[in-house]
Amino acid sequence: MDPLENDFREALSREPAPDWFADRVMARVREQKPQPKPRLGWLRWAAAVAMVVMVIGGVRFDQVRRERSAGEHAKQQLMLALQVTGSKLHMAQVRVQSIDRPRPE
Amino acid sequence: MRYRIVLALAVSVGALAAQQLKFTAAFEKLAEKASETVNVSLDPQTLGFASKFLSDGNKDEAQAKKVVSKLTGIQVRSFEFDKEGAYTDADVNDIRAQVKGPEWSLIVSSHSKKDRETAEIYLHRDGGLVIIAAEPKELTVVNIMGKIDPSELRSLGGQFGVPKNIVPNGATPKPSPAKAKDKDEEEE
Amino acid sequence: MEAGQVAQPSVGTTWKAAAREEAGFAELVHTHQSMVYSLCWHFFRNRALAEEIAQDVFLQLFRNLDSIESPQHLEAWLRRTASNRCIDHYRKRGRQGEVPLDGLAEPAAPVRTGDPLMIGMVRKLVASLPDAQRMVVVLRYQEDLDATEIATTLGMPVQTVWSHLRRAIAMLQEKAGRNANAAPKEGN
Repeated sequence: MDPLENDFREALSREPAPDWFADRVMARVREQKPQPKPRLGWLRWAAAVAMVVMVIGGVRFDQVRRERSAGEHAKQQLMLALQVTGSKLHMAQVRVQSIDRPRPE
Repeated sequence: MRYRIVLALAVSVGALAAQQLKFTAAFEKLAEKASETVNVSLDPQTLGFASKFLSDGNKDEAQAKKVVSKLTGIQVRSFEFDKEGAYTDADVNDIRAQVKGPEWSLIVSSHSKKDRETAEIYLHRDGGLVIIAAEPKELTVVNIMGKIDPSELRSLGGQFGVPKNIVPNGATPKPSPAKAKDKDEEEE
Repeated sequence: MEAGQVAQPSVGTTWKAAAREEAGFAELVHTHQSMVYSLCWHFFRNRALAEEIAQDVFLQLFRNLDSIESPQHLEAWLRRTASNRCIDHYRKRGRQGEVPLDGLAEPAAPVRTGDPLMIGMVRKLVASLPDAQRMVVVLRYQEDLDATEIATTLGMPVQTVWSHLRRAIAMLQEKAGRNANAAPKEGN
């Protein structure tokens, strides 16, 4: 082998890294490591269940609200019908009574 | 058993149909001339639904609930006009024609020539009721279907403006207009 | 473990699973730190800069473990990444990071054999080469790679590698004042 090549190999041989090198690398690795996240499995399920409950509750609430609204409307209609009925029966009664009443001489 | 149920239903539907007035298109068109209109049509389902919202704690509503429980339908058409002559005798006669059958009894008929007011009350033998109230600027037709009887009308006394003694307690409708309490005022 | 020896934590791909663990990765660092650090040291002749770049290379490895296919691939990856980082850093910052050759402190590790004066001179001469030539020479003599392997590592044509080597050797011979025929023979 050429003596100059030998010198090159000698001069450029691997240099050992400082003793602390690996420790510093590992320290930086630890800094980079994502912190273990809290286990969110149950939380996700709870959120999903809460969401479903909210949706069902919302739909049910809307149904109840609509039903109540329709019921109140039907009740108003019924009461109106009974009022008209009562009014007309009353009118008929007044007429009948006025006829039955003895006329002043 | 199933046969009986079907039969009962058929009878019930038949009875309901017999008590139910059919308002002609011409009659319904009166709404276009009216300044105020009341148009109520409650079928059995709607009546039942509405009665759920009648409070037992409220005396009036509790009483209404009791009465309504036996009803199968209510129709009300009431038109109030700005001018006289908006409706014709033909409009009223169309209604009268539907209650001329033997199953209907005219129990009250009041005509005032002075005020030009007419009030007629018809009872169906199965319990239905029709009221025709005609005034120069107002025409009202009430059609109550179901098992209401005159005594129940009395029970509505004081409620919703229904007078207590419009129909005497225990009165039974007679299927003849001639036997009705038909009085024409002769005051003029 | 000897320099250049590839870490073989276990059979098959379990080495990667081991490398994901802290202890396993530390073992990888220990195995390859000399190669990576030394490449940077010979390139920059600056201990602090060499250490910083070498640490960055291992951090990049940690982030890219999933892309490493085998221990052999790992070693080639480290060599390529270290080389490119050195050249990139040099080109971005120019010669800021370099310590002037005069008065340069020698590495803490003792020179093992040979003429210390010659070794020091060669190092200084190598450090004076243009960046690409310098890295070609370092890879050639530190890592004992042939031209094809250097070309793969640096992502350049083989002919370019040969060209760099010839020019570098010629320049070094000229600077060293030696006439020995030191140029590597093609096909090495």
